[in-house]
Amino acid sequence: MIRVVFATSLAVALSGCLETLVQVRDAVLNPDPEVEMTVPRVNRKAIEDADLAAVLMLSPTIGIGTVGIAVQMRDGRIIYNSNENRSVTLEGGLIYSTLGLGTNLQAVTSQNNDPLITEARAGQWPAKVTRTYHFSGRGTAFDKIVTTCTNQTSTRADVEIASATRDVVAVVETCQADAGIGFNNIHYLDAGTGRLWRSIQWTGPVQGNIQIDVIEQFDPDA
Amino acid sequence: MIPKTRAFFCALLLSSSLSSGVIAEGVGGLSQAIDTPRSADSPADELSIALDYREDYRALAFTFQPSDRFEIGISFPTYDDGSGSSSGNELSFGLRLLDESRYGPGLSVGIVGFGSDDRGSGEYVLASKTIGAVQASIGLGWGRYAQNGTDARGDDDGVVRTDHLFSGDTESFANIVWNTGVSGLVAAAEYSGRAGPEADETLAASLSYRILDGFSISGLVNNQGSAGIRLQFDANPARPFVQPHITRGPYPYIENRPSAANRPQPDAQQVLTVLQERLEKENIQINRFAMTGNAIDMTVYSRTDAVYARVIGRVARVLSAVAPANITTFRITQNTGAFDSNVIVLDRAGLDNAVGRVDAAALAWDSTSFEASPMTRATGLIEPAFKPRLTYGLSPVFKADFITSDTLEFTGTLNANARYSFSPQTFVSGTVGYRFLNQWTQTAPPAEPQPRSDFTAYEPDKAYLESLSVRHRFRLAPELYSRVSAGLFERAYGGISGEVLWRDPEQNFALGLEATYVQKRAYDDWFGFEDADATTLIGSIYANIGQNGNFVIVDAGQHLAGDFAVGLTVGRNYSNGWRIAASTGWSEDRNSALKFGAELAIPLSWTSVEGGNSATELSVGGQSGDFGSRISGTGLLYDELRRSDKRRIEDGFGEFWN
Repeated sequence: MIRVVFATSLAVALSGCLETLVQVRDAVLNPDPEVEMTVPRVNRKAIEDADLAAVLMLSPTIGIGTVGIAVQMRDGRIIYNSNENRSVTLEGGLIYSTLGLGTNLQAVTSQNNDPLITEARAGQWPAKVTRTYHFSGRGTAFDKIVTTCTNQTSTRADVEIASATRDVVAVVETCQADAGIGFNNIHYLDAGTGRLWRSIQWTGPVQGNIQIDVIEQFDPDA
Repeated sequence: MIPKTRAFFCALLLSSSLSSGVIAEGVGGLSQAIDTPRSADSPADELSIALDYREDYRALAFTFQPSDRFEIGISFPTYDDGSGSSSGNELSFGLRLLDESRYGPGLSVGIVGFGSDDRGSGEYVLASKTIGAVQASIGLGWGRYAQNGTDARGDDDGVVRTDHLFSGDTESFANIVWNTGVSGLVAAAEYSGRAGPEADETLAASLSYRILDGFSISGLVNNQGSAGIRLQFDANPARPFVQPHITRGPYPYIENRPSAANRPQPDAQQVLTVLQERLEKENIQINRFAMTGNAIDMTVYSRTDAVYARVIGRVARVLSAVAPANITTFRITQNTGAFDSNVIVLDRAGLDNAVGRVDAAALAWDSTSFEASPMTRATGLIEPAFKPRLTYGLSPVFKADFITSDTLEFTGTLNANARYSFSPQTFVSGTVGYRFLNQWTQTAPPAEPQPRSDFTAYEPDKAYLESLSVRHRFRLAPELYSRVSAGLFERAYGGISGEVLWRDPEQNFALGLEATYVQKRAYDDWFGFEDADATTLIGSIYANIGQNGNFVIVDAGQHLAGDFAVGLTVGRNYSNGWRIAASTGWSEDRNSALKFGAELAIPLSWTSVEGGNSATELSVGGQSGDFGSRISGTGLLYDELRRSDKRRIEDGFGEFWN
């Protein structure tokens, strides 16, 4: 009898092996998850009526789309937070940090007059921009990846962001890092002012690109 | 318990049923093309477990790269020559001396089977060059890379043998490895001047296929009539970890601005209510809460997050928003179950200054200090509550057995465990086991019971009482931890054991002393004893050294055979719960080469979508002889306390704000 019990238990254990292998693949080794992006509906009128600065945050890595409201200003940077505490911190149009959207980006430091931070108009961008990305690593010092980006201005076009049509110029940045990492950023700048309306920015080697749609711009005087 | 223990053993178990060809030498634990070495080319912290399976040869090998140019291998080969079998135990090192330049090759050197001139030991120097997806190597080898594996290399009888290194016959070798980029296929071919049974030179080819990310299988064949299969698992504990099931981010940190003092301040109960509500969403449990003077004192615990630095960071975020303005210090107590092991003191003003900065984690660490938990405290709003409880479960254990088998057979044991906890400090537990896979053949008990080598005299093929013991842990002083245990500790021994451990949370080392008196358990029944006893007295130093979670454990004292022996364990802890270690030992009564063991712990948060902060553990080798052996199952205190080491908290502090 006891052999039957043990044999049954063994069979149960073995039947879990394949499932476990798949779990290991999915959880330990982090393949690109096959996730579906869920984009929330944005109630523009409610945001405008409440006079809130807001952005739509999309993280394809984990298939999350959520709306963040400006909740804090720290050192000139605006922190947008969602109901589930996912957040991005924007310095001008540069994604300075992220939380709850994958692996997290701790900070980005940049050269003086980074046109993404100053929100310079397309055509006024310097030929090269150097930025340093800071990520959690071992110990108390963040790991760094230094990137250099060149840019190219595209033609003027209309884009629809949360039911509003914006007149924009696209700037495509082609970036290279020391570690052989290469990526593109795409920024859609207001054709008149240079302020950012939509941006798809790299935020790390695992988290990849995150898209920010500015639903309602932050107005420091509001 | 089944899902918690099966993960990596499953792959090893499944691999044991593969068929193969005839004799060849194989894995030495270092990077290699097929049977010849090549330069390590993986990033730092990469580790792999490989099983080589051929009809007359099997090997299990661990490889670990502490840095991108240095690799360590521990392998356990067994050879079957037809007339009998033999097994090895190899510690190997590979070092890339020179990196490849644009036109120049890299230069590497390696020693396989350090300290031994047994079969399988060998040395090499090689030059390698990578062009695109192809790595080519050419080199010169000694020992296993030059001569027939059955020939002895030397007659040095020392415990650590060195006379044979880089001496004797040499043969050249060359290999090429091509990562095709197609479906994880990697092709390799190699030449070796080493003669074999069917040709004066050896040519070999292999093809590897990635079954899943991290798991690959290789088929290999050579012109000496040998063929085989190799199964390999690769992982990197330092790799960033996306949490695909993440449901929320951390709460925003709110600085304690002067204007906050002008607002109505919450009382302790209001603070606690908000804390409980918010931390529950983070899967963080509050076991104790007190708000006195300018400090909030909490004991917190997460069942899902193994990185305690991140846990206290999330607590600090919530506290920043709800704590009254006069609170300047957050005191977070870490509890291991039996002990309050640390009080981690966070300076609120320091955190205010750190948040959002480009060096936010370093600044937060500068605002952190450690204290021993006091023996008594003022009563808080809530205090730890404990109800006596019974827990139980089944856990299958698969492992490569070197004690009852000399051909690296995989054994499977099903354990039925039960534990009744009277308090967080005291419990009685027992395990009944049954080995369902590869039983050993019972031998006649020796005239005199032996410490370990008579294990096969125990009756196989039926359920047995592995252990039944009671354990009580307590503190003698804030920095002095203690334990007493009694009962049947393991299959072969029962008795009483006591331990004292000194540990200052601010220090990076601890000192322990364990005294144990045991009687040899009966070979044929659950509760009887043989007429043999032993006393062990072993002192231990546990030290965290350098950066990156590196640690050293030195054990010294009187062991089971009455011999004075020293054990050495070196390894690396990762803040996310991974742990890799290698061990060896020396005994005054043992004149054979050192034996090496390896252990690997992989956190459940990486092997199960449910997460958790316990780990799947895999160990190979270690104590198996009569000398340098100690009692297991007594419950060494440091195993419970090491997660609280300051250096481990520091190692995870990059996650403080995550």
